[in-house]
Amino acid sequence: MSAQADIHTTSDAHGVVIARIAGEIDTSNATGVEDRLTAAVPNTAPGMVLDLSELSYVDSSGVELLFRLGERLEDRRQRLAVALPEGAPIARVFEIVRFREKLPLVGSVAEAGVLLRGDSL
Amino acid sequence: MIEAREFGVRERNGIDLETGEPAVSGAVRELAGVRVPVLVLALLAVEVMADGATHDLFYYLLAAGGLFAAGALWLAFSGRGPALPWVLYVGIDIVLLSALLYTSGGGDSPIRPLFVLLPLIGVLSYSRYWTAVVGCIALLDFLVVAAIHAAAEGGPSSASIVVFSLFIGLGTLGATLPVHAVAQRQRAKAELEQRASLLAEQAARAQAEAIAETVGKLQRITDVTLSHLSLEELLREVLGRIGDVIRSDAAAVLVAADDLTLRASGTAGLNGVRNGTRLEAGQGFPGRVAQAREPITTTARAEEDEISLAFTEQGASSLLGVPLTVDERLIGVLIVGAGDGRELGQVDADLLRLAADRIALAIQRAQLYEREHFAAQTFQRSLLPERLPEIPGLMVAARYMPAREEAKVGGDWYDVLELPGDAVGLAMGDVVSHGIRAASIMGQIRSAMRAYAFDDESPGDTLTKLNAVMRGLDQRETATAVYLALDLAEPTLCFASAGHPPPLLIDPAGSAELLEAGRSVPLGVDAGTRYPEAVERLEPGSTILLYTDGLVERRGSSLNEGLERLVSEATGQSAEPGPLCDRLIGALLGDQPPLDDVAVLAAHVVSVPEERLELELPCRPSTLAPLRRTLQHWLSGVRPSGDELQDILVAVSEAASNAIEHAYGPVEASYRVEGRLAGDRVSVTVTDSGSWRERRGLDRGRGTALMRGLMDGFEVYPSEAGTVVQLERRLGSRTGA
Repeated sequence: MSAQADIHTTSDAHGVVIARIAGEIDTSNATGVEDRLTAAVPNTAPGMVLDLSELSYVDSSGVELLFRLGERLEDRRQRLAVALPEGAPIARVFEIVRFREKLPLVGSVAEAGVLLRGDSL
Repeated sequence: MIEAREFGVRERNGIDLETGEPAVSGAVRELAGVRVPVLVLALLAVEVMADGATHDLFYYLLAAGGLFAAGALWLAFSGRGPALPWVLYVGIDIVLLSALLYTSGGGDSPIRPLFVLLPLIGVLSYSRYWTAVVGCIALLDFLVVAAIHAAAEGGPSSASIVVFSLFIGLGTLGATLPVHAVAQRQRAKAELEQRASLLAEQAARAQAEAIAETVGKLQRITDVTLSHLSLEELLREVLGRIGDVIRSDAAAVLVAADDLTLRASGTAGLNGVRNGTRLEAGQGFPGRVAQAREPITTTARAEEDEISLAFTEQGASSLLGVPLTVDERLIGVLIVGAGDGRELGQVDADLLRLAADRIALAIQRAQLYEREHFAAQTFQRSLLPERLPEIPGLMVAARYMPAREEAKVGGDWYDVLELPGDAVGLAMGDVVSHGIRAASIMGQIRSAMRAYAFDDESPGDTLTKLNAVMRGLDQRETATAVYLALDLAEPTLCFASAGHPPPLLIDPAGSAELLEAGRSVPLGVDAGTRYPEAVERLEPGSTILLYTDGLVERRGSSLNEGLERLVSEATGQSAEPGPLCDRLIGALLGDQPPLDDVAVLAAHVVSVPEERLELELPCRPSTLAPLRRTLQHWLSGVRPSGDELQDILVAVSEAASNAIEHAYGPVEASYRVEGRLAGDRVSVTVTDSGSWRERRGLDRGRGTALMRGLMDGFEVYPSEAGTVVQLERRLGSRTGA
């Protein structure tokens, strides 16, 4: 049985896509998650915020997917920010791979939205 | 004596060696021809010398006797007339004696009474000894009479009487010799005829025996014992037997496909041909035989196809090929080869053709059988779960052993269902019949059971509904089944059995017992059956074993004895389901394939805390999530913090992902996860299995960083089996983690 990840997308007043991922990401479903996330961002959107507060498991395959997604959006002049509450069980994975050095990682969706809007202005 | 002489090589003992007919020797014929005229002339001479004492009656008598004897002898020796009757010899003797009496001139001989015996002697025997006796008596008589006449000085002269006597004596002797020759010839002829009829009888018997033997050999080529062999085994056996019948040195059968390409399917005495060697339609000698649909003989050297070359290599010089046909349909081609200068001819072709008819039928039967068997087996296997689900807290393994007799594809089945909540369903059943039908029924029951089980039906209700399904089938069929619902949260076990052998429960201490409760009649027996169920507490660390009757049934012992053996073998056995299945199968069935299909399913409820965890998983990403749940369940006993649990799950998952990503090759690889709990130390090793794979390094950049960062101990090293990743984490070591 592959890992299950549910993705719920909305967009805020500025067109930023907010995707909430619940469940698990490992190598069994990383590609599928990546495809679904990429498809969820229209060309017109300034960027995407990933809400990982309900993600119970992620490993290096998930991290790789986020990095790839970030690069792809950057090619399209779109930004990606990740929201993950501090102290979440999966936070240590992001710490160890030094996620912040590549992509913005903030504590909440609101912060991420501010961050993206600020950048885009 | 004369008859003892050899008259050239043409005849021996009066038998013509070339014609086998009684032979008349030239010398004997000459003697007979000469004797009669000489005898007549001698008598006339004596008569003239006897002072003209003639007598008309004597002349007539003498002439008639002489002609009579001459004619009879000529007839006898020319072989045209009937054999000389003994009366004739008596006649000859009487003629001679009357002449003798007359010329001897009176009744004054003292031994005259003896003459009365002479005809009798002639009748009694044709032997040359008696002939000599007759001759000697006649001679003696003449001498005596001559002496009397000489003394009286009134009869013929002494000299004339002596000459006459000599003629008479020798003549008598000569006259009897041909008689002996004829008699002997008749004896020889009779003997020859007898011998000839004996020989003919022997020849007829030998021929009958030879025919019977050939028929026997032909029958043996495809006798009834071959009817259960696979095509390959059948051909091996048949080709060996053909060698006996035809006295050929090598043989090969090529089976024809629908497009008339030929494929070597069996050989005897041929090294160079692999099974599966293909010839295009019409290619080479076998191709010609296939096209001609007639036996063809050829010289091996003249042929250049791969099959013929192999025959030549084995020293075969003469090849004979016959088509194998059934109802005008070409099944294949049979080729035999003989060496040592032996030419295979028409007789061999006729014989091989007879054999070919039977072989063709046998091959067709084996092909049909194999096709049907393969279909049934494939179908049946496709209905068994390809892979058992990974269930946290439960280790499951199953074994399926097909029956020894390949003819029977059984209807044994099993299933493991991951049900909503912490429930797991274990099912096993056995359809009574065999073959495709059994497999199809098994498939229907299995589907129906899954449906009811996922509908959260209890085991008793599930079986009650399955019974209704069975009763509703077009064809009446019965099956045994057992269904267990495990609640791993409690943990408890609820089960119901429809005539199936009782499940075996091995408790954590290793004592085994049969779960006899919750039993009822097999499915499909009675429409109104309500199947009861029973509930048992399920200790963590217990193992449940389901099996079909093939495991406990043995010829010559009762089912109860089999069950007792199962209980005693299972007692004290280790908990790991895979090895447990193997050990029990080995202990109860030995090395022999079972008489009936055997299915065995074992499920071990992981106890918490279990010191050791051992898993072997296929190299598929889909195993990662179940692996994490199993680890979580295993670790729950040592109560790790949320972060600690998460760290271990990520690290082990990374190691497993690495093993999965590097798996490649012709067969599906697997990886092993072994966990150890020692105090507050959790150690987990992840090992690639499959020694066919080259050792590899570790190239997951971020994965490696994660494993190193999340664990206290991280090591990668190569081993015999593959690459080992060793992870260790001390619980409570990272405050604030």
